[in-house]
Amino acid sequence: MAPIGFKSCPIYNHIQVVFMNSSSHGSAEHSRPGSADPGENDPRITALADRIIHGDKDALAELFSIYRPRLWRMVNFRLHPRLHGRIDPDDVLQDAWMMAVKRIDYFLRDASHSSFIWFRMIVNQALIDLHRHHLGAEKRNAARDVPVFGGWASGSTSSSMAFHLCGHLTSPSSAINRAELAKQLDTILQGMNETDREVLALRHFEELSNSETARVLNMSEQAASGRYIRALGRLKQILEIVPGFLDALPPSITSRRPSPPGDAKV
Amino acid sequence: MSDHPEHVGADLVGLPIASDPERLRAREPLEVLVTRFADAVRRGEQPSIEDYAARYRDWAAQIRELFPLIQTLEHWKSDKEVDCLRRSVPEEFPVRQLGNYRLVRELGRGGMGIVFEAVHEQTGERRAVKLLPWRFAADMHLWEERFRREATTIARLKHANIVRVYSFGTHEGYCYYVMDLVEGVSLDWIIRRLRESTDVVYVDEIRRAGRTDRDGAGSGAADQPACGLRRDSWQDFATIGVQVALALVHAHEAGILHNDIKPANLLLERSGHVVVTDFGIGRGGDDAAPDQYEHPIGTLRYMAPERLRGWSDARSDVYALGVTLYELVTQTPAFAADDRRELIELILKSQPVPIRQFVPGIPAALETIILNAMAADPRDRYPSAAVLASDLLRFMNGLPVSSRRPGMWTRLKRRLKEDRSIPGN
Repeated sequence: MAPIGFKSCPIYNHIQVVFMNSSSHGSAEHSRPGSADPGENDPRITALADRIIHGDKDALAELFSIYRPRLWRMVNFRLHPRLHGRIDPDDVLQDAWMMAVKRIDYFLRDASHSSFIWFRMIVNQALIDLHRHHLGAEKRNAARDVPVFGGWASGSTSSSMAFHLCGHLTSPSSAINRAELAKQLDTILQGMNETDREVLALRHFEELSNSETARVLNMSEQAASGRYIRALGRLKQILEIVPGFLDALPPSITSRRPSPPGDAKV
Repeated sequence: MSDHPEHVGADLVGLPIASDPERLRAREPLEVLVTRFADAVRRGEQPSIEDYAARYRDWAAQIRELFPLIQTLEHWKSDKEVDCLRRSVPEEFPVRQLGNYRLVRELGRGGMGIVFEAVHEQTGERRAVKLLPWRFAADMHLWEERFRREATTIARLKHANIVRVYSFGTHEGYCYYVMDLVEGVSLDWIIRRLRESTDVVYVDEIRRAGRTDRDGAGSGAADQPACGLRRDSWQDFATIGVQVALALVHAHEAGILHNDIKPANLLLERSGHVVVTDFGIGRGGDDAAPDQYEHPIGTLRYMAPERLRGWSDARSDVYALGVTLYELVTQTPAFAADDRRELIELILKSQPVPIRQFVPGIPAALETIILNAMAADPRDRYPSAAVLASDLLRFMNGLPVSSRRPGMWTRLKRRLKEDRSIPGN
């Protein structure tokens, strides 16, 4: 059977079904609160995994669609700032889906710890291929292009983080403009310990759980846990140094939702 | 279990359970708390940092140190994701068909969707279809829920001056809802047009700007009466205001705030009939929606001071209508700045250029009504859209209207109480 093209398979129906029943499932540790994604130990995930190890591509599609929102978030974060607006995260996920179908026979071997991490790894590979294709030449020349985690250059995570952290700064009249600020932040983030930076990226920007982070970075859950707290403290110090960050919040954010006066509430 | 005939004995069920005794599972207690807090923020809840600090006293100092950062980072992240989503929407949207509707052309883009003119394939009816132009975002279920809520809420409001919503549907993962196609132009088009020249804006122009590719027959200018809007069409401006106010009365009685009254969301038909569109449902109030913190500058301009401070009620819609009317009669925004913070400061300070300075000929009563509606302090405003509507009607019928703004003395006392400087003039 030819690989199922994502846009032509009956995946959309699955999404509907899955979302409707998802809220009450999942263990406390693994479930993704606020998302429609059940935890790794969810019986439906296990049932799908059962079918996938027997080569059921529909089950693979269903599982992929369950993880798709989280994978989208990862792509959106990892996509190079220059490629934003040029490349649609959906297309990256489409590429990754084709790769996953080809690797279905390795699912049992590679996804036994976490099927989400397995998909994430494939998406990661799709992203790296895409970046090589689009930014290959210029990236190779960059002195800082040393692959560190999951095939990413050490500068990649910091520039993604700088890009995403600078998003809210839209003021053209602030002392430094946004591009300069992003560059400055990037430089400081690069000075951070690589593992700390990666932990932050995974826990905050990709919204991975502690155990998932530990698995991706190949460390104990205890170590990942401590690293995250340490990294948060470092990030706070950094944001306090860079002007215009923690002081640039508009009033709607700094004084969010004081209780409204009792009268005339519609 | 398996259909394979060669399977005889044991079959593999599920993945092997990962038991790895070497792996240290103990987590830092503070990290567990951070995770719990971040998850709550991600769910759209508003967990209290002080509650955490009180409950986990051993960690109180660290909680107060780190949790505000987490809150801020989460907000920035959702802002940025919305920003990326918007940027990923292509110029030319690839989908040409939604359910039974064939998309004819794009009518406009708003904060949360693209509106198309569409034709029902079987009946040939022309409708407007609003589409949520993404389907796989990280918070997709939240987006879908909000979009659906927007549709069902507007559908509940049956009023001549509120756009009618007929149905909600999904097509290949895209959500959309179907509404009336309004044959008209938005008030911001009218304002621009009045600003550009002192001429009359004719109804015929309204028709042409609103609908260019309609059936050409029987729509020549000859059969139109030569009436139109001019810079001094005070009665017509008031008629527009009354209709919007009545729409708001209806919505407010149903417990619904519009949240995004601005010229671009008010459509004027050639008959002079006004239709209110684009309710900002879930974009403010009690809802921690993904783009709650991201208000484009064009929307910010009409926001009441109290909304910028984080709360709103019916009077906030009254305010937005007041600011809209200010712009309609002067063809100049009440508050304008390129920078968000500057704009917010201007709104909070609330000292727009007096209307009379732009249009000396404006009837005093109309000016008073507009200023009443857009008073910075909600206590000085019309208490409801109904009172605004009735004052506009009084003006149209030549009856006196009353200023609701407090006298100099009351204002002075309040200002002193609030420990603010007294404005110069």
